[in-house]
Amino acid sequence: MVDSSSNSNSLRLLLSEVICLEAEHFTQAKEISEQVGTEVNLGWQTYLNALGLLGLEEWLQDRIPTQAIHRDTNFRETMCYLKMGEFKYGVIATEHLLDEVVTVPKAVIDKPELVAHFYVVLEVNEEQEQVIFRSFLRYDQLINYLAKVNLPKLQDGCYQLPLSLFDAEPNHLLFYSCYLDATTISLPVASTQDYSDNLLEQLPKTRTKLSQWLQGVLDTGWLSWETLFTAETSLAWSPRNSAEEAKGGKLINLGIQLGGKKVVLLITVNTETSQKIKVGAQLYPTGEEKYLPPDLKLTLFSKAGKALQETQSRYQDNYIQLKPFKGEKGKHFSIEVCMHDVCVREDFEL
Amino acid sequence: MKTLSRYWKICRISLNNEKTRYEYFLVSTAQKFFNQIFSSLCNSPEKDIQTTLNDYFNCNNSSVAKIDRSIAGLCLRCYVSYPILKACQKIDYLFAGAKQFTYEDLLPFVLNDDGKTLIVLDKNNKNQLMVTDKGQTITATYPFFTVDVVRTYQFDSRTSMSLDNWAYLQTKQNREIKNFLSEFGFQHLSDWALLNRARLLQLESLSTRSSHLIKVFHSVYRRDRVKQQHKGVRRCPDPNEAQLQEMLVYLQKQNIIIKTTVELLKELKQVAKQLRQYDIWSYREPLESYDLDTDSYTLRADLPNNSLNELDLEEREVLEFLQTSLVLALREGIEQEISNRITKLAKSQKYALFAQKFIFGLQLYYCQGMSLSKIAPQLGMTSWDQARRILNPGDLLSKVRTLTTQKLLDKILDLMKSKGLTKVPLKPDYLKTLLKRIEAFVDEEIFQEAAAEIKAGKNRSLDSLYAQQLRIYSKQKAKPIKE
Repeated sequence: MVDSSSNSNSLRLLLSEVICLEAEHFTQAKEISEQVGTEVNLGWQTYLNALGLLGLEEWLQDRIPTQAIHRDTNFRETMCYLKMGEFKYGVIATEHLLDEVVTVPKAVIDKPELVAHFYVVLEVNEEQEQVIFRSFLRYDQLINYLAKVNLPKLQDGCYQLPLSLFDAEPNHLLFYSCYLDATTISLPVASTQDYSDNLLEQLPKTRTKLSQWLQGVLDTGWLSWETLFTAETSLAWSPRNSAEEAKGGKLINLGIQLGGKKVVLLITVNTETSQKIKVGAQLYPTGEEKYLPPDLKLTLFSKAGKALQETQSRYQDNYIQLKPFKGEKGKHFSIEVCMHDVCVREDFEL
Repeated sequence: MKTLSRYWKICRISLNNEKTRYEYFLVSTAQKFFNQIFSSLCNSPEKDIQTTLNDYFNCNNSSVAKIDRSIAGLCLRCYVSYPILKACQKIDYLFAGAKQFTYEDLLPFVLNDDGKTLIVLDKNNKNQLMVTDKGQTITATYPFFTVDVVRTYQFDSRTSMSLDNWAYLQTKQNREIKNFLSEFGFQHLSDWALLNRARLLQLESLSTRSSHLIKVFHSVYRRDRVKQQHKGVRRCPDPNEAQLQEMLVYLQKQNIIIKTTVELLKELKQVAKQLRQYDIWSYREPLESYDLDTDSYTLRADLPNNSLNELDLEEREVLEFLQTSLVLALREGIEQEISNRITKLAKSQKYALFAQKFIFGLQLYYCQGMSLSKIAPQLGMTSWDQARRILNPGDLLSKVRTLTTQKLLDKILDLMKSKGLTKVPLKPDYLKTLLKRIEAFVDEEIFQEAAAEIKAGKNRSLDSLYAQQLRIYSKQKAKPIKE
């Protein structure tokens, strides 16, 4: 008799997903790495990445033949990518995982243009001509992990993450790909549009001065991110802190609409250039609440009152956020939190 | 979820079990003892249960009889036998490739507890003492690994890692396991392949000189290796004279003077020899999160452990539903995957010839119990490797599992839809919870056994539900092969 509790996930210890490589894979990988590789060791890593990429492509195509898979032709030294439908898959290729450490370049987590919905760990056994699909991680899980733990040490600009953090059941990747809407794993979006043009002139009201935040001065009514984790608000989710950015949160009370419960509006500002500031806005539940109430709206308005962006919570959203936007110092904008017809508006100056 | 039976069922080596080399053995004295002590405490946290048991086990005054002490220890020995087994399987899994051992070879080193002998520790908490029928103690002739795991674990520390993880790390650190792995783990890899696959973390544990040697080796050998594979050279060959010369030049720039290529070759082989030590490859620290404030390791936050309640379906309802749909889903999965596979082979340039022999090959494997190396010539294949690539029983099993899971998932989603419970769009964590539930079920009912039996070595018997269904299907479909 087998005791079920001891076997959770142990089937995967007996049954790995092995993808056999054929001669044509090696030819393609060589071509790819020649396109990219300049320095020898980077070239080797690119070669492994390419073999991993081809293995993953084969694996996915074999199991989901109805969907077209595209390789990101813009191969990079750090990572290469596949796209299928709306999903983006980042390939982390490695020679072995005996140390149970997955090395992930920091850039592919931080830079919006380099992030992926899934980070897939592939072990490339070059001499045995095979690729083993080891495990993978969703972007949101990765971000959550990094927010929760003390940041793991960096080595050569890479995080050393424990293999156990990753999902060892490759089938989950298939099912996510087939059953989920890509928007349920939200990725940061690179701001291509400069909203600052719309954020002109002045409004005679108390305005939160965000440029001061970067000098360490928070306006009254705003709480530092450290304070946000006191017992009073006890955010379940802890945002990451970093030197170049400032975060501030404000408790928003929508009164009876939320049954007296509060939500936190969290604003993150980054120096983009000496004149430009990048802003992120997120809304979180407080206290014991894991999820935001549904139908909560978060809207960005220009100074002239034009709605520039809007997002709305659905059932069981842990948080909602606006796409990060940029503007020049001195420009104005507003953010509004609404529940049905009750709204709270905050005005800002960059 | 806690399963209390882990405290009285021990996983131990078995000589009788045909499929695997281990069995789960019920230790009735442990069960009785556990129930006496914890009759009202079954909902206590795991850690409290373990600490209480350890307090009994370690109680050195006469208030607790030696027999009771040893039985409390037996409960803990049962408990740690599970992570020990899992650690062996994990090592096997991590080695992968063409390694020449399986986890079963590792079991005798660490799963040596018979689940019967009564053991207590001496006053210094060092040596294992056997408790005789008369309640006296004598030094144990064969110390049990389970007892060592329990003995070295810090029960009282709130921040220490879980007993499960401790057992895992101890198993990986076991001297005999390490020796075994150093001898057999990398046997299939040539010195050059081994040097080639070393990563930064491994270099850290070598001397500066060795580490430079490897870096220089990488810069020359890897560059050329890309071209070799392209030309179909599979095994990593010895570095040639030109490559060695080039390495000498690079080494000189780093002030490492080696006079001749012969000497360099010798030194590289020496480094490769070091790399055959398992210690170099396994990580030196436990990968639990490190807390700077307390200067200790804290438990890794586990992934969200959603219960079925969050799925809004009742456990019983789901189970009944899965049960009735299971065998049909398996049959459909087998049929679908075999037909996919034949179509794919028929389309392949290299393997098209074997498409019509696929079912026959399966029959040889599953009905006649032949090994792949014996099947290869029967089907006109050139090697074991070709047979593995074409028949690939493990991959077939894995895909049938995927399809079976998917069919059950579809059915459950339909069921929920009919009850108005579906949430659109489906959330990742919700889907994952659902999948884990289904996987746990199909694995326990079908695939765990099916995977274990094809993993087993000689004299295996293939009689899992999966093997049975596969036989039925292949007999229906078999066409007599002329030749």
